[in-house]
Amino acid sequence: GLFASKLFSNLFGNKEMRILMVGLDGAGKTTVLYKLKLGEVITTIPTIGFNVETVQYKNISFTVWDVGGQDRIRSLWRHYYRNTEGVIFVVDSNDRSRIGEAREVMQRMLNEDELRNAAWLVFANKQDLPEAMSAAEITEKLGLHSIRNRPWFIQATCATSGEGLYEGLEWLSNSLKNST
Amino acid sequence: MTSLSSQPAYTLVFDPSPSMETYSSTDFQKALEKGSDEQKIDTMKSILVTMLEGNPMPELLMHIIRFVMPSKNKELKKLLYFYWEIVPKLAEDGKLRHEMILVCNAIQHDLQHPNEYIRGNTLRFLTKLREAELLEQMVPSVLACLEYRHAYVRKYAILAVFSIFKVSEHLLPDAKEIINSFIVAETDPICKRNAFIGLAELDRENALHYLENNIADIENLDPLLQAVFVQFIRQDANRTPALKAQYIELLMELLSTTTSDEVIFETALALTVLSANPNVLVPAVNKLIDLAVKVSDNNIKLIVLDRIQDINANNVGALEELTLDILRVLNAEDLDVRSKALDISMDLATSRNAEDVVQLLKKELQTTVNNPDQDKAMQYRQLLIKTIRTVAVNFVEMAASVVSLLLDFIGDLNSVAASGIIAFIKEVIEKYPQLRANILENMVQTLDKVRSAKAYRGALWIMGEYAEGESEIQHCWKHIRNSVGEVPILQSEIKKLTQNQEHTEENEVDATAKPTGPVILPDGTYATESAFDVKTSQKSVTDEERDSRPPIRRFVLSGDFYTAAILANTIIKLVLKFENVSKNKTVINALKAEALLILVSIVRVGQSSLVEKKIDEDSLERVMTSISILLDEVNPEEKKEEVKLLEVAFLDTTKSSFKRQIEIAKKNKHKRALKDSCKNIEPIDTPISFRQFAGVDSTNVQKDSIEEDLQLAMKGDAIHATSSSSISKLKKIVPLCGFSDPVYAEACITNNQFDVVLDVLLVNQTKETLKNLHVQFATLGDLKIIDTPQKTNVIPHGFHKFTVTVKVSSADTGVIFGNIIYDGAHGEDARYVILNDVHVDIMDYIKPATADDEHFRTMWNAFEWENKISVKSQLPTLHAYLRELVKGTNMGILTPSESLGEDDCRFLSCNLYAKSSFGEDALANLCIEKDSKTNDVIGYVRIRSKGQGLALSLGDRVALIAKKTNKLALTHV
Repeated sequence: GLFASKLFSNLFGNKEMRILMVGLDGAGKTTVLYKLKLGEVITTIPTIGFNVETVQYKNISFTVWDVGGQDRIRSLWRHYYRNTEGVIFVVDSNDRSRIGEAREVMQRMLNEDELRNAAWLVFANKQDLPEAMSAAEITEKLGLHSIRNRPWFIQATCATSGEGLYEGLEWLSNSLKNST
Repeated sequence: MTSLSSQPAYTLVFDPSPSMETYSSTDFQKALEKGSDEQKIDTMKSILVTMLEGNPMPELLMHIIRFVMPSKNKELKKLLYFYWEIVPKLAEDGKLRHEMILVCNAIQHDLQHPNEYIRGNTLRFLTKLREAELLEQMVPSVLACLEYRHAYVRKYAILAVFSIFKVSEHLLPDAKEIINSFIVAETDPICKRNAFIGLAELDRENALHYLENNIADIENLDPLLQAVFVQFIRQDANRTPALKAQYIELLMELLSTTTSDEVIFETALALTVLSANPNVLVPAVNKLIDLAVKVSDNNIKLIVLDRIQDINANNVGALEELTLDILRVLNAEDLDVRSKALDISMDLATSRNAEDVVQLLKKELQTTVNNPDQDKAMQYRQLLIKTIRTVAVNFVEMAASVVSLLLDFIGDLNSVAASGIIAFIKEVIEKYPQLRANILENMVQTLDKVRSAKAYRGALWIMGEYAEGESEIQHCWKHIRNSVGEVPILQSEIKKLTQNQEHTEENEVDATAKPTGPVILPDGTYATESAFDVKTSQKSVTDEERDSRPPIRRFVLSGDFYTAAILANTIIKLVLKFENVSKNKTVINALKAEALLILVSIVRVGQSSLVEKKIDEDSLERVMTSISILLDEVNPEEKKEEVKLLEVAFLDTTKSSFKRQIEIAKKNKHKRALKDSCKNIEPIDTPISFRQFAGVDSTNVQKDSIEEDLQLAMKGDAIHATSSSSISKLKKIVPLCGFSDPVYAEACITNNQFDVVLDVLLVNQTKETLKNLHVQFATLGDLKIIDTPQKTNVIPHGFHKFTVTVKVSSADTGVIFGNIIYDGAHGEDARYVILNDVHVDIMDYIKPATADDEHFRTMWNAFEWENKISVKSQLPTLHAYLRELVKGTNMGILTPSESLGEDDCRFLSCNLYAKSSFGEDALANLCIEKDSKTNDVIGYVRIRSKGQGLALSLGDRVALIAKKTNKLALTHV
């Protein structure tokens, strides 16, 4: 019975997905979140702590946890790992000086046991800026190709215009379907 | 000290949940992870209760951050802020827990929340937050809230600014300017008040400036603001004495114009702190009295009266002219309030206003007679009479008029009050001999109305002692004659009875004998009354007939032969005196003959069946002695010596001992008065502070007494706690198990007012890690374990410390016992170590107290439980035993030291009284004597209390004393 009802809800009903959105400070996570939630760009201040919103896309409701990216908060990310089905890693494409740091942080997360089943989505954010690195460039600099045994995807985005955000969600919803 | 006072105050709450369910933190975590907001609310509530009970549950923090904080539910949010208030925010190393930083974002959001109540509540929370790291993030949002349109938000925002600045000046370096500009622009009174509180503390100059700007219409300001102005002035006046005069003037003006009770109270108190000048004090206290008269709440009345009492104690003599005003408070119905007001007016009464006071009290006394509520009126009347007595005894001029006043009332009063009046008359006669004749005559006239035997006995004594001249003695004699009625009593009564029976056979009323319980004498012992021979005499006397009898006859017929014995003594005294003053043989002989007739007829009637109780042996002996003295005058020349002895015995000794008693009382009073005045005397070498130099020498700043009081109230026992040295702490450490046990445990026991704290140390003595080690405690008696210690693992030879709080709710003997439980190796069964019992020392909860005889006796009669312990001790003296008893039971001696007898006295009887911190009374009566053969101290201690527990546990203590002292004696041998 339980199986049948789960199947049923999978086919027609609403599904839920727990998403953890992290990245270095100033990458634009909070802006992404509220662009998805409210459809508008709000002025944000550095997040000391976290924001959490549910975003409805198609028939999936994403619970997105946006945790602050400052150095001292990164150690607290681990509290949010459990039961996370998807990770959105947001990168400031314009910040070439810190792309190495971003890679380090991401690689450390990839090794976390609690996240081993999580789908991995990278937002190459701030594409509107002239000096921005391309998605391909970032793929290489983050070492995404070395990711084995989990689905990953990189999406070039611009949070202020909303470009690419829903494409990312689309990929996440597909990967959710595939996994179940 | 400062760190002490800034600690949040935790309350111990015992969770009264009937099922006694206890949740572990994993239960809570699970409940938080899923469930609706409603379920989370319930969970949060039980988490909060658990935390208040002393279990901080630090492992819940992250769950609450993740699952509770994101919720939009308002009720949940409110609980969440309570949680933030009490959650331990620091890790063990004293630094902020990392997780706490995650809270910032949510708080920031709440500070920008469109709902003003959420904003206000969040700001309120910030005023309690002491962690600079967290506050740092909030500063911009708080500042934004200062301009929010709702006053509710602004009033907390300005307080938050103030408290953030106090936590760390770096966070808000320009706080002073912010507050200053805020207060200038602000219109809401509460916001202004809060801003001024901040300003007063941070920036005196600007606060003063603001005050100056608003002085002009201070009376039109909101009371809230006025109150903080007063507070500021009070503090500032002590710092800057130069402005004191102006401040006082300002306060006076405010006092006369303001209408708010709170402001009146604060202003009046501030004035009395600032000045000792009667011109200032009198109006201030006058206002306080008005307040006490006006408010309806008795507690407020009492508080205000307390303050007035303090003011009077600090400024002796300044408030004299307000004596009568204070008596206006007597219009309150409450007895406590009235008694307080009377107390104060007693302190204030002087020879100048004593008369007015007495007049006023007299009026009050008259109203009580007509009061329908008899029980209350009676108590109040006694209070009034006591007060009038105190006034009158102190001021001669009053005594005469008061005596006649009181005598007017004597017929309406109950026994206690009436005998009080008689006692007062005794005192007055002794103190002021010039009033003697007058008072005596007055008293004899009113005696017919006296209904109380005790009062009458006192009056008889006075007659015997103080009737001096021939005519006076005859006057008294006439009264006695009338009072006894037709003699011989027996015949006349029988005659009356038979007449009655003939007339109204059918109206016969069975006069049932009065319940003959044991009578308790003033020292608490039972009076022996011969219970033999008591027969219900067949009498047919109607009640009104009994009432119409003259006093002595009434007492005798109702079986009160103690009065008869005293009458016999009085008669002898009068006869002896008359012999001394008069040479008229015929009158003397007539007197003697009549005396004999009266006494003999009393004895006769006492042995008949007419009286309700037959005459007892002691009284009979007394009366018979008197009769034999009267008869024994055959040859007066021969027995000069004997007569002299007789006169010494009857006329001199009693009077002189009464004189001595009064002198001692006077001396004691004098001593007390001296002590009181000493309090206000400054030692010669205290520095005189000159106002001009005050600014230079900051150590000389006057202390603000109100602030000190507040500090004391807030810290409470902490002061005592710090003074207790580590040595005394060591004394209270008890081992809970032996050194050879796998786990050694010891506890340091600290008794606080209502709880006992066990600081337990566990040491793992094995070479293995002990898993799931925990201690279970259980209690016996009125004790409750408030927090259950958690399970832990203890490494080999490691130790674990925790505290357990036990709530104590009565001074019964309490025992705490427990056992240590831990898992055996390789999943074997749990292992146990059983701990020693911890006996809670009830003595820490018992404090000596005082009560007057009357109160003691009413309690003694009312209490149901008595513990009688026989005493047999080898202590050298009776007083030594008493000292041991007082030391061992912590009780106070009620019996005055004069009546305890000399140190080598062979018998001793006294009353002891103590109160526990929980309001229980414990009474004790000690009756001991020296055994003439063994020289041991023998006798009884009887302890009475309302509940069984206290009597038992105090009895144990008494038994312990016996054990201890006897052992001591043995080792000497």
